[in-house]
Amino acid sequence: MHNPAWRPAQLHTERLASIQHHFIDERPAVRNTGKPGVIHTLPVHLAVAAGHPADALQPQYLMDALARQLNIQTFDVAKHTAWHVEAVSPGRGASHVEQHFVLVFATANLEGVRMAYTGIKQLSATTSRQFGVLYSGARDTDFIRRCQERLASGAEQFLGIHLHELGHLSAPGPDFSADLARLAGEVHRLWEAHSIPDQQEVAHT
Amino acid sequence: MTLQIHAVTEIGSSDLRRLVIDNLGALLGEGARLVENIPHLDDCCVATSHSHDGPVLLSFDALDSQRALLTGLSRMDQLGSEMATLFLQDYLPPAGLMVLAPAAPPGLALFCGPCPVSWRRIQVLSVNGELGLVIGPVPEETAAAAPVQPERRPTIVESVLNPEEERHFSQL
Repeated sequence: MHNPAWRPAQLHTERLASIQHHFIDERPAVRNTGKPGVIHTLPVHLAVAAGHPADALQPQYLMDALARQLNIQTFDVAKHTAWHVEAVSPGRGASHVEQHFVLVFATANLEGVRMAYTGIKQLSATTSRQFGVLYSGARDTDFIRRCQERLASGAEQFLGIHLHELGHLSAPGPDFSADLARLAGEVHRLWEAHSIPDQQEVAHT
Repeated sequence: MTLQIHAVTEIGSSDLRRLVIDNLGALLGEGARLVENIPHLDDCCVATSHSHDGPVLLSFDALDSQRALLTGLSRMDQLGSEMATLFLQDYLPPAGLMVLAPAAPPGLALFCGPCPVSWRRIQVLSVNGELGLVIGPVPEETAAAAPVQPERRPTIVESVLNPEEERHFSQL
C-alpha cells in the first residue's frame, strides 16, 4: 500500500497529466535518440464548414492535441516511434496521401457531412482506404446520430465504404482528457489494423 | 436644450470600428452580420456577410479615403490567398470591398469586374460628447457600377457530387 503522504504528489502528477494537452505550443518533435526512429503519419481530412461553431473543437487544436496524445500514449516504445498528424486536402491532389487509414474531422451539420463525403470520395477514388469519422459542434445527440447516419449510408450506398464511427468530441472541458485518450486509442487501433507494414515505418535519422 | 454638434477630426481606429459594427444594418441592410470564420484583420477592416450575399469587406478611415481603399485592397488580397483556405475548405474570400470614408477615394472609378468596389460617405460627429456616425445615401455613380456580380467559385462539394448524391446529401 502506498504511503498516504505521497498522495498529494500523486494527485498533482495525475492532474498535470490530465491537463497536459493545454500546453501545446509547438508541433510534437520527433525524439532524437541517436538511433533510427519511426514516424507514423496520420492523415486528417478536415471537413470543417463555414458554420463551425466557435465553441466547438477547433481543427488545429484537435490535430495538436491528438498528436501529443498519440506520442505520450506509448503504444510502441521499443521502436522509438513518433506520430505526425497532417491535414490533407483531397481536392488538391490526394496522391501524396499514402496511408490507408484517414481520420475525418467534420462539423456536425449538413455542410460538414457533405464536405466529409466529398473528401472520402476523392481520397478513395484511386486507392482503397478506411475512414474514421469524428464530429464536433453538434447541438444534441440526436443531431450527431443524424449526421452519422446520413454520411454512413451515403458512403455505403455510393462508394461501398463502411465508415468507422469515432463519435463526437466537444471543446476542451472536464471530460476532454479522457475523451482524447479514448480517441487516440481507437485511432491507433484502426491505423494499425489498416496500414500495411511498409507504410508504418518511415526511417528517421 | 441645445444640441452641440461638431465634426470629429480625430477618432481612434477602435472607436470607428465600433461605430461601423454598430451600424452594419444601416450600411448593408437588414441581416448584415460580422463574419467570424475569417482570418484576423487589422482595426481598419471588418468582414461582413448578408443573408443572401457573399462576404463583403468593409475598409474605413475617418479622414483618408485613399488609405481606406489601399488598406481594403491589401486585405482583399490577403483574404483571397491560399493560406486562408487551409483549414476552412468551403471558405469564400470576400466577394466585394466597400470603402467607408468622407470622400470618394482617387481611382475608384477604375475598379470594375470581379471585384466591385463601392463607397459610402460617413462622417463622425460628436453630439453632447457622444460619438455618432452619419451615413450618406448611396451615390448614384457607385450604385450604377455595382451590379457586376462576382462569379461565385464552386466549392469542392458542388463540383464532385453527382445528382443522386446531391439528393442524398440535400438534408440530414
